[in-house]
Amino acid sequence: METVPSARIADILREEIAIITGREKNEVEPDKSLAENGINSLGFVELLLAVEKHFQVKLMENAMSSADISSVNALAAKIAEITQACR
Amino acid sequence: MSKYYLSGIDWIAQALNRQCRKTPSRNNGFVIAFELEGLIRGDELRKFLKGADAAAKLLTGRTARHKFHLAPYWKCSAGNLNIDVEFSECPPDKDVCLAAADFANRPFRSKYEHLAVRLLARGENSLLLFKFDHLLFDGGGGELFLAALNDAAQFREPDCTLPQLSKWSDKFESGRNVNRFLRDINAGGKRDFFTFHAAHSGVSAANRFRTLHIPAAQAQAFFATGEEKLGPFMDTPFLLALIFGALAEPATGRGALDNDFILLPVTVDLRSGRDRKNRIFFNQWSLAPFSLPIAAASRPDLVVQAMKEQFIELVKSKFLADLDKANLLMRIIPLPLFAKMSSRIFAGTSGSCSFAFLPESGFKAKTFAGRKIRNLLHLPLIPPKPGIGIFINRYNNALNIIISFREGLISETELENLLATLRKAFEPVSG
Repeated sequence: METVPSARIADILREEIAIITGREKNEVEPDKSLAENGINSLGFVELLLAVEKHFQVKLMENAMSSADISSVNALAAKIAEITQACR
Repeated sequence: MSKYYLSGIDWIAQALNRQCRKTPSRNNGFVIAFELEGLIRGDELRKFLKGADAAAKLLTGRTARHKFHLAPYWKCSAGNLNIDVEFSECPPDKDVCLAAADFANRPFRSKYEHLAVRLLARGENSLLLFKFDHLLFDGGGGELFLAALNDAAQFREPDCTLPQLSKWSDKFESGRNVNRFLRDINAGGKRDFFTFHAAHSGVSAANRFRTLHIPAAQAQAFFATGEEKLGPFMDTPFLLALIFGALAEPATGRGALDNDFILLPVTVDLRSGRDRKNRIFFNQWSLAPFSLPIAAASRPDLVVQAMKEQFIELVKSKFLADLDKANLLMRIIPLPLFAKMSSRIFAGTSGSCSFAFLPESGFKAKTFAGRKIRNLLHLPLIPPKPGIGIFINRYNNALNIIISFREGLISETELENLLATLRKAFEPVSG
């Protein structure tokens, strides 16, 4: 599994959130939570499927907490941590 | 005059509406109830409702069909809006369910009417009821409409002015995907699904409601447990597992077998993102089927995981969007026939019990018409098939669980047991 820097992951997450919520990418705020960025439960599953496609990380199978989705950056860090551990 | 073409889901809503034509309400509407602090004067309410005039052409419209291609559309009217408003008094302890049922079971005055209001002075406080027509609103849209009214905001035009009579191959493909998905649920016709209506012919039965209020602290503790087990954003699957477990008992009590399935048709609000608050009118939901064998009820942890897996699979398969697209083709079928077909929506059945969870998202204000809100409840009518639905809405972090059912479908003992099971699930764990 390829290691991707957290900042690059956050960038891709913002792109995906923008598609899911019908916003512009620059409107997705990386320090705000997924819910504050307009993600609901359906959107969350869509986002996890996109993460699986981009990074081959199955977040559904990894234990996730509220802290992991407290911001887009926090989710990016979680994904980076998993990809790092899988190397 | 504006024309708004109906979506596939709007057409399903039309069919469900038709299924209710012999019931007292003659339609499939829903009530949003506000329990307010203090009294509202009649003239004050009428003045407040004047804000709806900005949406008058939609609120006085009706369904029509295009002459040549038959696509149904909402024909706006130039008529004046004359909302049916009634005022009355009731005892301070009058049950919201009784007041809402009296109102919900009354038909609209004409096919051009899609909103009605009742104001009840309940001692020193008020109970304000809005009845919405499902042809023009869904539950989320009703909340957004009331939020706009409360904020004195202008109503934006809906965005559906094309008949969408293109991309036929995409629509056929969606239809094929829906059929495959339903065939899998039905296991090629080999599964039996539990229904309450097996021995009940009640196509003309009145609707009744029962409610259960879950205070904020208990609701939060419940969802915290759900997050521990399933991860974040999994409130709906966690609630579904609870509903499944609660229904297993009456199903078994009525003789259902361990390998019979409980099928929950779930309404999912498709609004998201930036334009959410502008998507007030028409139906913006889809239907998702969740099912498990009754035997699974003895292993609650497996039920919880299974509901999560089915939720993910539904999103992955794009079933929710496919159902809407596929039904765009069905709009040319005469409504009576479509209504008959859609009474057996999933795998040849209308399901065991409808379910919907409306998280706090459309109406966030703490006051309405200048009065403090004590509670906001959604009380939807339920079509004779499946004849029972469990609907949950969150307001101010507390939950309202509403059981909506057709009279005679479920016994008082079964109802009490169902409510007791649901209540127990939210009780704090002692020791």
